[in-house]
Amino acid sequence: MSKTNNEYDAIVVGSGISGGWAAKELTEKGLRVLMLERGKNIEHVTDYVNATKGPWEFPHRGRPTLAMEEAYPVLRRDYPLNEINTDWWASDEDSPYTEVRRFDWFRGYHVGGRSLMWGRQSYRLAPMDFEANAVDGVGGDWPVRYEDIAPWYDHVERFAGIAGSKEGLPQLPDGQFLPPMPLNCVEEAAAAKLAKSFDGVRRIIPGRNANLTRALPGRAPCQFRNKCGLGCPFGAYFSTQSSTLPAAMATGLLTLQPYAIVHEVLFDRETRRATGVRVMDAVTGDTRDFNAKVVFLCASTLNSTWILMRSATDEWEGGLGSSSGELGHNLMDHHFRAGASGTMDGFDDKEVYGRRPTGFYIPRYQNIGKDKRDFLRGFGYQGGASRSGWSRAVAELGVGGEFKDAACRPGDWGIGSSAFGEMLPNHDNRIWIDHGRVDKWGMPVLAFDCAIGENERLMRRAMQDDMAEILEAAGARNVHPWESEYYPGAGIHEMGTARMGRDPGSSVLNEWNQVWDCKNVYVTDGSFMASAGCQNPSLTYMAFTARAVDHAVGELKRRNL
Amino acid sequence: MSAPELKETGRSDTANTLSRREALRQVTALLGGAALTGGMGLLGASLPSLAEARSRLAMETDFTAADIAWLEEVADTLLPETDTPGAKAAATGAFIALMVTDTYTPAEQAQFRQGMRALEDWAAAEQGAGFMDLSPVDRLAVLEHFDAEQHAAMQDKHEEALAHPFRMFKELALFGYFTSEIGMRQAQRYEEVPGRFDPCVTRDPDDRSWASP
Repeated sequence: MSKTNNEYDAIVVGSGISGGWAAKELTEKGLRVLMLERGKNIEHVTDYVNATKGPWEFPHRGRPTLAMEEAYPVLRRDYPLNEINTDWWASDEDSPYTEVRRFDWFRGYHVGGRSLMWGRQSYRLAPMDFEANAVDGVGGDWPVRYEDIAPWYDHVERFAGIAGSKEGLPQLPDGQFLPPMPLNCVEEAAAAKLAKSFDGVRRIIPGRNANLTRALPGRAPCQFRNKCGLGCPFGAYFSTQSSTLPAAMATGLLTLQPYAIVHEVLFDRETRRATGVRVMDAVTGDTRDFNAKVVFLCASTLNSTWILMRSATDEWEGGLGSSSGELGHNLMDHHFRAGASGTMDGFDDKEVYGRRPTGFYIPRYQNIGKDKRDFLRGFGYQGGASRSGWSRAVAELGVGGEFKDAACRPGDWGIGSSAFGEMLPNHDNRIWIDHGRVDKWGMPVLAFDCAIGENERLMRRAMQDDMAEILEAAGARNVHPWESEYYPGAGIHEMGTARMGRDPGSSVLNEWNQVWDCKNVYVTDGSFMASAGCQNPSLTYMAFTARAVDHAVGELKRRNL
Repeated sequence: MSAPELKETGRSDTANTLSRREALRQVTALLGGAALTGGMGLLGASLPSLAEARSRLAMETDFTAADIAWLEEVADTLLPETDTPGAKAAATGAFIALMVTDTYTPAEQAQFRQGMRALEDWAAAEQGAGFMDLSPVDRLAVLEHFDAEQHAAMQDKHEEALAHPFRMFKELALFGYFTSEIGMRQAQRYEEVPGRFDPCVTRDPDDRSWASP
């Protein structure tokens, strides 16, 4: 860490989607901001070292080796273990955690965080999502309703650049969209046929994604390479590096400090306010305090809670925010990997040009209107149609020239989809500090105990059955429902553990994302989520972060912090 | 890779690189359900670092130069030169040797090597010479025999059992060839920067697939 100033107006902990937004909004409102990132820097474009390589340039063509599987026992569980961007996922060895039950935790410990590797699907929560806990009596009531957050969705969509189509659906509100990335001809045909079944309530629409279909300042439109997870040399998808960091830097008010692990928020027992944060240098192990008028915790869902648990422990044994009894509880994810697939006839003379970095979406329709289920809440589907390629030839009988030449040509059109389902908030799904084990930096690690319940299991059955019905109605043949194993965390949509609510006795944060017990600490990553909805959550973190900054700056002006 | 019956389309919040889970699922399905996970200690106590693993060359694998030359010829019989270069031109044999060494479990490696021996023995017994000494027509006959054998064996293979070794070979040969530069740019069409998305193009029946990285 450089020997810079220790005094700032605001400190932002974390540099991912939420931290980048906090830094941009705070600096644009005139505050001097220190943004702390626990890992290395990744420079926009110049550090995207694999972004323009062909697959043949990787010795194992992207597949992980056995040596990698031994070195990364957690990452090997899923796609983060590969030959192409594994360096961008946090090391299991350096950052272990304890699993009472299996929890897949895939982290991005570097500048930009998972904004570099995210899937970019961007959907608003709906009025019914903010009302769900109150209606069902499950979880704590959101202290916010859709109309409170709608203008902030507008605000972040305009800047981030979200491609999407206006559909007029109350369960999936429209936003400030760039033109959508269109359905391909097979998806279009399926959508048209599906619209005539199920009273038209199950609809295939273009996915809404944070890839530009028109240029924005400093960013080129999508080139349809579909290599987003390697970093985009065109800046065509939203990331900290492409979007919020340049905006914050342009103010001249941002200091970005990599390799800075926040140990705790410093709490003043007299004023009941935070004075700043204590930081460990990830390279030297030295600690140093930084002071500020306001602290934004944007370290990612579980990491922000972990920091709170380490803070103000002389006042509250369980840490800052633990007086509610809910800190660390109500951990959620989206459960997925259940759906159906099939083939579509009649399009042998059709193909697409370009590699679209999104697919189709089927907005939630369950438990809406006349659709009543044996489970609460619901799910949306993400899918696509594409032609099979050479890999189909592996299972076919054949050798020699004709076999090879056939494998060079496309095969059938396939169509398929997986649901993403809401996981109910549950006090018993939780994290805590395991004092018997430390990470590379001597920090006692997090322990997890989290599982899906009966509601999710019932939903998973419907995710398969419904998709099979949908594909048949859409004209598909050879329809197969499928489900593969799911463990919490695998959706990489971890949410909750510092929920917002209406009273300090049952929630960690108030309606403005302020810690009830320490009003100049705001938590605006996924920790605050009181319920999960079934929509991909990042856009919601952006909107709540921008809203919280607006509130914080107002409170500073009013001398309330 | 784009086998739709195996592909989990529209995966959210993931890198659009080759998904490990998807790679495994596809490989596992293509091999008829043999799990490729769980490899223990192929390379013993001195595990190479990621960087070292990345820089390993085919010549550093446990296969001899003669093994690799043999794999090149078998792969080139499976995928010969037609109006596009064959597997040997894309160094598919060397790639197979690397993948068996670095990504197969010891049990899978043993199965693969047993398959190499079986193929060589059968060629000698039925065609009167080792594979390398056979004519192109006789080489094709050897592969047709083992392809029929694997195809039949895979139909009623137990889920836990290892794949037939010729199925392993076929999977690696197709994967290696079609992800090589020749396989991407010549056997298929490849555009590094398409620049636009056209959702519906009428194609000529002879047009090759669009390769996806």
